[in-house]
Amino acid sequence: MARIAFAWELGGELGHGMACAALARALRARGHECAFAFRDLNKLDALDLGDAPVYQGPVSPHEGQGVGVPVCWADLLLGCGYGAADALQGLVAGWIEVLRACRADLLVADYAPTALLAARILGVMRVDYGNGFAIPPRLAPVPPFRMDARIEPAQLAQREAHALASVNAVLSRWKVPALRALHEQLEVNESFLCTFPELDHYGGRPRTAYWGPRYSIDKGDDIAWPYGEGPRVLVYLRASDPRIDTVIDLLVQHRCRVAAYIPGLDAERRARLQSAQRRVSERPMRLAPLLGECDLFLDHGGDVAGAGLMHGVPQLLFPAQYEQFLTAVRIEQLGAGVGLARPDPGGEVRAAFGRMLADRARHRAAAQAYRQRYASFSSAEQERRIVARIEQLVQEKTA
Amino acid sequence: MGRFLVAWEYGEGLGHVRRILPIGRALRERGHGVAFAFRDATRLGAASAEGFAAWAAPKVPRRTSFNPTPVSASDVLLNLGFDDVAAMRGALRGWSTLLACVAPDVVVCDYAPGALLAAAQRGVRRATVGSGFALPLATSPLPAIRHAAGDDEPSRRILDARLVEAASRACGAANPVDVHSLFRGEVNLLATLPELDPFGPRDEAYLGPIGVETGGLEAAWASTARPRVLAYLKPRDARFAGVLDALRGVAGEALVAAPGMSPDAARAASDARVRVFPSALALPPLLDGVDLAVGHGGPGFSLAALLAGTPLVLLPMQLEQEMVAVRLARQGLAVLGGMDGTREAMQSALGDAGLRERARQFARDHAPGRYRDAAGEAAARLEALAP
Repeated sequence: MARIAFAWELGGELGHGMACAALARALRARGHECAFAFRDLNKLDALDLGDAPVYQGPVSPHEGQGVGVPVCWADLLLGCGYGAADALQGLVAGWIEVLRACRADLLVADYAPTALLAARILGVMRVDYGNGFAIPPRLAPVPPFRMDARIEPAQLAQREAHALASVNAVLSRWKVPALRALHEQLEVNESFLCTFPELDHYGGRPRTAYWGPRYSIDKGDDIAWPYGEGPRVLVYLRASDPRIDTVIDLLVQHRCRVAAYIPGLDAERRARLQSAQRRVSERPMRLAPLLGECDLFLDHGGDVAGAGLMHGVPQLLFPAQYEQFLTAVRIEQLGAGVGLARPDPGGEVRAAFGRMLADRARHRAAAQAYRQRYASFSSAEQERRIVARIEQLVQEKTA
Repeated sequence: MGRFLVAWEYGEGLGHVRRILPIGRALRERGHGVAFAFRDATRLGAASAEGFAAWAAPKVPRRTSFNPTPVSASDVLLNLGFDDVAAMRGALRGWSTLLACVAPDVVVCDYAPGALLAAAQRGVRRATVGSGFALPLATSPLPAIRHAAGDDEPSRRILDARLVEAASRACGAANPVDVHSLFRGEVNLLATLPELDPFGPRDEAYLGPIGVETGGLEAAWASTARPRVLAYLKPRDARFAGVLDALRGVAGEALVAAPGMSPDAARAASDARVRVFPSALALPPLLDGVDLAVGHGGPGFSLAALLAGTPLVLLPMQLEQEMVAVRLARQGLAVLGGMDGTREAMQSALGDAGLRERARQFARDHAPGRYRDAAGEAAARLEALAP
């Protein structure tokens, strides 16, 4: 039996918490003890963490302040406390406290670079667990992820040097050898890079093991497709999306059969959308059976987009941030969907929606081709292998 | 010997850390175990460097839409997200984990309502320390914090009830919450003076300031030019550039502490008479013989200036500063600056002999050195709660 600590440090989507919770359930079923340190504790109710200890993950309250639009990995770090060694020292001290309290044998880092630093300092075994955006390629420099903004090589090098200087200043206070390059911070005993090359946010990287996309679609309320004629459209969007009214109008106008989960939807909009043909769930839906018979999937491009592809379903994507935008670009490149530039509440959505419905056979063929390529992939098997690898690592250490 | 968890959950800037670190040190000197939980995890290094256990305080995300003019302390907490029951339940779970790890006998809360609530649930003894803002008078309903529309008694009663309902739901129905338990402990320490207490003067003991004169870059006056003006400003304040212009027009020499500014920008904003520093400044040597202090109304800087007999021009940016500034202006110890007119406020303050004399009288009333061991006194009061 091992003690496993989960850290989710960056990234605002609940997907991180859900993925950690699912993996922890599998580990707990095997007799391991789990603890969690999450950046957000406000949706724990949705996560089923059992009675495990839950810590506040140390994060900067000034995230993103005083820095421009991030273009590269170093920018992300500089905006999250890495701009000054003293601030980073504080964050690392907080993570060290958590890891010590958990007496962790192994850290699972879900987009948690500072937790990885703390584990390095304490000599705790560590793995990372996330998609291509959260686990950048181990290259010097880490290639910029932004497609629409250029960065000069000298600038890129300067920003990496800035973040690296903070990291090394902290490591030297703990008498730990300095890193030669920023990406060395991401060294782990195993990297559970949960995506496939076609969906990799960085577009390509040196020889790497891809563990396949991670998603959790087997939990939630069972909603059946309404009877009738119209195309079956699965909607998994947040009410705060500026295009939500247009989406509701389009679903009504095109006489779609709808299964929708739209967190934050107000009563007026719910009433406008809901009908015998259009089901609007109050709680998260079990997506697996719905995806099996779906003509079009509307989502933001989070982890669930990978599930859409693995079911061969065409997607219309509404990215809410840049990571999701990159996912949308990848799906568009596959021909399996269309990503909307953000945030255009008007005509673009109408045009794209009409095009997607008219042309869904072609998009479906592309999505199905992707599905065929990875026909042997299974989420359950992915989870089993990750658990087995974690157990192997812990055993190797104790042996 | 006792174990203490000292928690800071709300409020910005350096003031909270500067206040609670000396208290932690004093407790440790008396043989107690001390751990800290900070709202701003980037400041944890200050505690861990001294060998204290240093934790990130569980947080409730701020509401995206909030009332810009809250009328009572309950309204402020609701604004800060305490009406989100799921979020509060999550934060309480975080506090509960932390309390289980640290196993304190006493939780000392510097504006830490979540910690107060979690400690009450677990039967841990509770104390508060602060500048008074986070400790509203224990009236029912809680008192109005500014005299504005909607701060009548029935409205405030409704706000208290909303806060109590949300907190009770987050705790589970078995634990009904009393509104005062979100703000008060068994011992409540006012680390300020009655003249600056946003709810003062009140019939409670004032320990005097803790840690307001510590830290910061050492600077010195470069000339004998008068008047000398010392300013402590947030560069993100929209008035910042205008204040620098006003200083150029009014001051013989001015020093400006602007923590958070980039060194390059501070250099660019400086000239021979007005020097801008991108960090806090060590105040005691500079305050000796200064003619005017300009700040936002944070209790730390305001106290340091007044204890040196220096009158203030205040440009509040947030609620606590506004309450302190209004109180000081009413007592004739400060002049309020508006959105514009900082220059006029400075000129009027510099030309006001009564203002200067009242500031000097304040300093005489609170003789130097009188509060030197406020942290030790706080520790002694807190220690009484430990087994």
